[in-house]
Amino acid sequence: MKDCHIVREHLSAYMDGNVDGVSKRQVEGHLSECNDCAQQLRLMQKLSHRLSSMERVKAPEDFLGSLRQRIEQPQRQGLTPNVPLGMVALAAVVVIALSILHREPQMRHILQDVRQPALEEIAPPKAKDTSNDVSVKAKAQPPAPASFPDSSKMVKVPEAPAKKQALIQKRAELPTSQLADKPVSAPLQATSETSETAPAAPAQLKAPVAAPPMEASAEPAAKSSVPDTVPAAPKGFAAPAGKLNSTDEMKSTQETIRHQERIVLTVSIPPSFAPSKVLGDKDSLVTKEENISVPRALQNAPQPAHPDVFDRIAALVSENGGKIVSDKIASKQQYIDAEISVEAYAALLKELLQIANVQELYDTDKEDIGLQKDRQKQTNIVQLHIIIK
Amino acid sequence: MNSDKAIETQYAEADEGLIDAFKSGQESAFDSLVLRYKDRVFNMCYRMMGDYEEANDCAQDAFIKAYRALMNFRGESSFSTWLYRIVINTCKSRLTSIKYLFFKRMLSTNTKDENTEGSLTLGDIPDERFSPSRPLEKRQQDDTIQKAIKTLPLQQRTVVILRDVEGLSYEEIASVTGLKLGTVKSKIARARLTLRESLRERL
Repeated sequence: MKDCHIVREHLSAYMDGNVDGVSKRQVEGHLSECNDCAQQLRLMQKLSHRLSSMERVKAPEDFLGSLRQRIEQPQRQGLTPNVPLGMVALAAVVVIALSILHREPQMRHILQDVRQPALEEIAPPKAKDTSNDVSVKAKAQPPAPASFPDSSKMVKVPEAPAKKQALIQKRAELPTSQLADKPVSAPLQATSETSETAPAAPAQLKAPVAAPPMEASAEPAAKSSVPDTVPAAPKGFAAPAGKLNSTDEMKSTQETIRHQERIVLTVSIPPSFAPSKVLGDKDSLVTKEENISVPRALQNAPQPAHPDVFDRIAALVSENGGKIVSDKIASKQQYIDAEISVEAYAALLKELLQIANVQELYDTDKEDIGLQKDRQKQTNIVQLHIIIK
Repeated sequence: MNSDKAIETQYAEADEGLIDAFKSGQESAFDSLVLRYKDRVFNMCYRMMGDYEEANDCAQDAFIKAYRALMNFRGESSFSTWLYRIVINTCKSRLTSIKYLFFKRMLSTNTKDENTEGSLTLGDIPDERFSPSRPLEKRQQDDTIQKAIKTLPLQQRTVVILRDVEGLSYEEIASVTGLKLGTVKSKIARARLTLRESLRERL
């Protein structure tokens, strides 16, 4: 009985005939004396026999056929991971695109460009409720060709303080309800508007730099425009808040006026007609429906044209209430920039048609670096190609 | 025994001839090998997996692996041993895969009371596809044994199936599994003891 635990370890192998001679004799000797171990052996033999007598499961009838199909197909393990990877890559691209669209200022411009026409369509009707929005109030003002450049100058240029003071005063007269409607971040937005992140401001600030000689001529118009804008401002605004919001007020006014009434003209002579002696055979006018006095780079005017061409165009512009904003260097490079109101532009165009053949070309000016940040303002460029009769 | 040995030798020689034919470009030789071994492979897979569909997938996977590796078969062991090795590894891979373990865990929630006396759960209903003529009691007992086999650890399950179901010798089992002979003996003994205890009242 003492050898039971030893013998039972060998019973399985003994049953299968896999014990050596010494162990075999030891097990057999023990089994002849121990009924329990003999019973264990019988149970194990029964189990083994029962296991071997289990029904053998057969393969399906079409086993070979389906196996052949799988053998002739490419390995499917390589295909399964590709689908999720592709989906993951696609999802990653979408997420990155969306994040860029929301975070990059230039991408936001695209979204604003989409919304801008709708705003302009809503804005032109005169504001019935002046306490509703500053931009609506500004649209109620009369056309002010000179007010826009003046407004832009007031942000940066030294001679602006007088006008700025007027705008601050006007802002101070706004009803308090307007202040309540403004978001808390309004002052921050106004500050950033003057920085490089603001789409409109940079282009405006470039104007004096691009056309320094014309600043002097622009000043009178600027001063004259201030009284036009101020009276339209609503009254009853708290003084402490007015100072903070004055920049915001100017920004809104500038944007509204800019979109409605200002046009910048660029007059040039194509190089193919440059050798012509008398008033240029063909002139091209580029108009920008925006208060941007940045001269457009004209690649196709390498040779000097007759100065009378520009003098004549400048005279026509001045006669129609516009002003020249480009410098003499621009004239030498065969282009001039001018600003003119929409109404005056129509009159100018009529006069030009009397002396020249005019071809209008509308352009969005995507290549103009100076205007890229103004794209959210819907800078529409109109080019007029003029052939002097 | 000698006649069995002679039959096995003839069987092995026939395998070698088919393998040589396959290596020389006769694609149909592999089909002949499949037809010779498909039921053995399928039964082994079924006993290892305990599920007909899983067994079918495993058997097909095993033959596909064999097809792709047969050109490199050098005859160091018999074809049947080599094929069993592929089958065992295929079943092990599937049994230890996350996908299989996940579904096994999901299904096990419905079969926790499988050892309760006398109760016939849904899992106890035998599969009629195998042999409708087989007595119902025997089929139910087969199914009970299969469930007991499934509860064994993987190595014990493998060696006891190879020994008692497939009838391989200890040496062949050691060759198929890569285990030492003494390990094969002890694992077979332990598996039998476990099965005997779990099936004491059923057999």
